[in-house]
Amino acid sequence: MTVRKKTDKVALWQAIKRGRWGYIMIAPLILGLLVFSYYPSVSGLVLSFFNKTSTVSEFVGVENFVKLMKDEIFLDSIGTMFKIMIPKLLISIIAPLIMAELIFAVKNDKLAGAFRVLTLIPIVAPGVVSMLIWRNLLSVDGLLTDIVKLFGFVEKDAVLDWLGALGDDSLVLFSIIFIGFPWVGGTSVLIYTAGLNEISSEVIEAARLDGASTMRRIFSIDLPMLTGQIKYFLIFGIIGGLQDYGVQYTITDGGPGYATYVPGYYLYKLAFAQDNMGYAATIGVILFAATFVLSAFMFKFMDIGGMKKQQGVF
Amino acid sequence: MEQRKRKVHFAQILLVAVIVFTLVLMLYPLAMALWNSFKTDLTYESTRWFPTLPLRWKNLVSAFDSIYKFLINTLIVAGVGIPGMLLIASMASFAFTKIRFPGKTFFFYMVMALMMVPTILTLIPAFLLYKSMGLQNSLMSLIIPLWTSACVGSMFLLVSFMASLPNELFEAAQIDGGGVLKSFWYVALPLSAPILGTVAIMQIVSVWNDYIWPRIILDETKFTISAGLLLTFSAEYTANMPVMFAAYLVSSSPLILLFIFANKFYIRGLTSAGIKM
Repeated sequence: MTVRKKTDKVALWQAIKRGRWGYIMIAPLILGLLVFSYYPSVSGLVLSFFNKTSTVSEFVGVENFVKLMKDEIFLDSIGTMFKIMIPKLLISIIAPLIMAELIFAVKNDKLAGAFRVLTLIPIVAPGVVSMLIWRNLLSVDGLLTDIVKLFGFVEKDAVLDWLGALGDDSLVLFSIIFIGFPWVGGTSVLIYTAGLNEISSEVIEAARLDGASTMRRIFSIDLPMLTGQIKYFLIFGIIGGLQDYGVQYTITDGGPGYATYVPGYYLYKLAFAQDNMGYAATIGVILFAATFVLSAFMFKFMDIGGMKKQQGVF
Repeated sequence: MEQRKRKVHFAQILLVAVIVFTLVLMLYPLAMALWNSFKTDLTYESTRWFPTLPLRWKNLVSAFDSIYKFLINTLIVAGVGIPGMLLIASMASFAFTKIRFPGKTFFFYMVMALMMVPTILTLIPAFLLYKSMGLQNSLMSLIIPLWTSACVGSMFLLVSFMASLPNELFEAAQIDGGGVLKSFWYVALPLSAPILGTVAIMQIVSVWNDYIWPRIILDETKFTISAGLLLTFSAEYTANMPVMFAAYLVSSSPLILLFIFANKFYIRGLTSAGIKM
């Protein structure tokens, strides 16, 4: 028994020695992540148990969490977050999918290629730039107001406060979701196209000969082939959506009032405008827990790049 | 038969029309920013929804003057940060897919688990960490995240791609007497060029887009482009709008050039990697 244990140990040692290049090549990444990703993550958790400002730092136990559960700004901001996140998530998955299918159905390959390049163009404008352009389009005297009036949807002298700049919050959530219309620009169409291209043309031809309509083909062949892409958008949409406060930061400032406050923006305000870092970190912990729960079960079914099957050569 | 053909033809025309209409809607805001870059303040007021002549090129000059320092900062961050990130991430991806070593799965999941940690959790502690290291107001505070946390997302693509490189290639290299490092440098890296290009472009775009972290950790003189734009042109009605749009154009110009020269490359990388889940 002891002999076997010994040989096990020797074998492990030999395996480690043989694989030394593996450790050397992952070392810069792992060490960097330990210091600049893992350490801040852990200290974020620790911070949530402290009353921490630029001058004070004292342990307060779960007080921050108790306070947060009664904080109406925070509780309301959760609802606001879902009201923005869920429609945006659905749109960001469905709109590019429809566009990818439309382009996929174009018979002229050159034309289809050109369309795909065109859908990418919005990535050349930094996010801040498109935000600021949209702020302009959605201003009280902006393009959208002109269009709505042109078609006679509202009275000529109606005031449409899209972004709540005048203090009316009735349209602001709609406007935030509307930003980016028709929501097809960027890399998503291309990522779907990559998936569609993997469907062999024989399968599509066979479906056509069997008399399957295009709709039938999309639901029975294309969609099952695209589950990977859809999962990818879903996971990153959730992770991104839970912490996104770009619109609040660049356009609404959380207003009018607290109408567009989301937890992420509240965290930012608490930490960097009100110097209440410990309490703010508590929101970070809650968002982390939510992200973890919502995405962990999806990761469970994932096998990134077929890693589990990779044996290695060296 | 003839009638069926005509019907298909008509369907195609309708399809193309729908796509073109959607693309026009999608591109209109950008086009509007483009033509407004070349107007005077006065013509902007009355004609902002459509292009007019003459083009006022002077706007570009005034815009450039007010933001060139932000552009330089951005180029420094991207120029130092991204090559380092590509090296660190591709080395690790190679090790994870082509080298056998005990604990590999553990380390791999240790890296990938970070994808579930939202940056918002680390925003405050990272601020405190960089401040305590004396990196507040240093561009290093933007470069280090590229060398560390940004690698995680990049590896998502890199690992998939390197896993798809046939093992036989490396077995041959090994028999030829090449070491692990040589196989990495002379076989794996050149073959991964398309995906490395894609990752590089994605990261350049994200350096260009970043504004919250730079505005937290840096002083105004060190701001990168998006942070600087918000600083210079955030008060909508006080600024000269055409110059503001010109600044958008100037700030996007490096990305536009990159797009013109690399879009084929980028598209190939993005479509070849596939997302395997």
